[in-house]
Amino acid sequence: MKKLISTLMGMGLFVMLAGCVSVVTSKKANPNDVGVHYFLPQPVIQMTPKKDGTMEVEVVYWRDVNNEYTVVANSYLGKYTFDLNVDERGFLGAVSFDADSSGLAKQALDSATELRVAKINANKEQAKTEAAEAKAKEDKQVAANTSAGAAVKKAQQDLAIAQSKVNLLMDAKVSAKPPTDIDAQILAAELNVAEKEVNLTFAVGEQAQLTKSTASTANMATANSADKGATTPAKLAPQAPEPSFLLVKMTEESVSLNPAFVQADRVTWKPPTPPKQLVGLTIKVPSPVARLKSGRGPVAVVTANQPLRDVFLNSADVPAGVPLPMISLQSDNLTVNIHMADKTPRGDYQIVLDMVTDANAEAIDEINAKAKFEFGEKAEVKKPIGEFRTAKVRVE
Amino acid sequence: MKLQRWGSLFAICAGLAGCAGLETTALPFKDAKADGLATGFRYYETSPFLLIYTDGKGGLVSKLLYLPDMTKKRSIKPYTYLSSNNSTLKFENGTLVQAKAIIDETVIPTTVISSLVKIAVATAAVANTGVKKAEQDTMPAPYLFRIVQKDDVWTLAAERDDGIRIRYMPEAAK
Repeated sequence: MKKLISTLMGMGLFVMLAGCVSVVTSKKANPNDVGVHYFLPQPVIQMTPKKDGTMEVEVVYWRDVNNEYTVVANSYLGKYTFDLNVDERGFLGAVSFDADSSGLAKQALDSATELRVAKINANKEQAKTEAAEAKAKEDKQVAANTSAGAAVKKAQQDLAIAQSKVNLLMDAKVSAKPPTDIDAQILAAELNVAEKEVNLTFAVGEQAQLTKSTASTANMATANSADKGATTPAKLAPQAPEPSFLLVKMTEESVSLNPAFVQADRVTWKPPTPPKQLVGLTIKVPSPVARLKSGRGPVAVVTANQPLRDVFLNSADVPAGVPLPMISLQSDNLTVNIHMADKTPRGDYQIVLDMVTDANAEAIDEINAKAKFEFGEKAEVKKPIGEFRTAKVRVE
Repeated sequence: MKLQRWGSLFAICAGLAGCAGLETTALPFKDAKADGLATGFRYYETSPFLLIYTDGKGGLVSKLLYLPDMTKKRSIKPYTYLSSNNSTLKFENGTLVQAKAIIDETVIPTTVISSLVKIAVATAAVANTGVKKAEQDTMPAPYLFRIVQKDDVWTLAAERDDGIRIRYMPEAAK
């Protein structure tokens, strides 16, 4: 009996010295299972198409809900550390087992708790960031709308003032003693009105674009709201097809791709481009004296301070019977040659040029492109508005 | 006599004390029973696949991918009885990426890969010809092939649905 007791005591002592008996099990998950849950991945080919026919292809991994497992760790008569990391997608990361002489094995539970706490904190942080971003975006939008409204108001005022000046000059012209240069003043005032009209058109266009962008953003926000689900986007809002997701289905011998969803169109948005700084068009007449040039008749040269798309002759005060001058824009898009007719008598002439700048033409092109995208072939095509500039030319 | 008895006791315990390690089991494909009985961490072995897709400029792009092979599920379980077991398992996208499980891309000879790419590209190019008018503003879905080696023969295997098209322009704009 004494021998038996001493034997059992010896074995017990050894078991205690030897360390832990630990069991970590991972099994198929049931809905109410305790422990840390993880998933195996479902590979998916994500294709993001672009308008130019190219696409970004990426392999992404979704959690496979048919392959969900739980982990439970137990330890008897021992101490150890068990660390388990599950990433935000629910996939296993690192799993480590380490001898630990400082505490009992309850780390599996701690891991699960820490994981939950980390998830809650991450969600809280994300919500805070999203709210701040939304507020900043809203403030920016309000500021932009206010600024656009002010720009339209100012352009309207400027136009009204310019128009009043023209009216006053017209009244002065029919008065008893009109100034000698009344016609020149009227022309200058009318040119000023034309310029103000262009400014107003641009200001209104920018405001309309901004309003449309705001509406698109609002529609997108509505479409994204979880409680309302899918909402019909604004009819005229630009759209693009959403990315396509192809599930990788495997057999032991082969593989196939199956679309996860039917590809739908979603509303797109792009931030409004900042209004372009309009530089007033000015011209210089480096060669006001028209002389014979390469045997093609007298030519005067005019240069513009910004690239031109087109130049037309508006008027020339040449005597009756004398052909009007020919206008040609040179390849640098800055130089304009005024070809006076051979029969033009010597003297000073005022040539009024209708000049379409690149900046104006591009702005109108952009408006036309948008209209075409939204309304198709029925879209009204606008023509760029030219600006009148007068060149004084002397024929010798 | 006492010394002999203590000696046998230590021998038995020493036998028990050395019991620690990792137990890996292969779970047959679609065998729910085996999956239900297994008690280790589940992961997939990786297998090589070839992805071919259009570059949108009339050419094709090929990529060699090592994906988790859903037909090769494994269970790995650390165990320790009367002993200590310090080990770390690292998983990535459901695959075990430690030591011997690390992907070795040299396992398929380069010449084999280039030959397989040529075959796959030719297959994809033939399938892309004769795009119908109704399929304008769409592009063909990518092609994914499983690279299979049997004995010394490498082949490509895929179940292809050529009807899948990806739209890159909105429906209204067509």
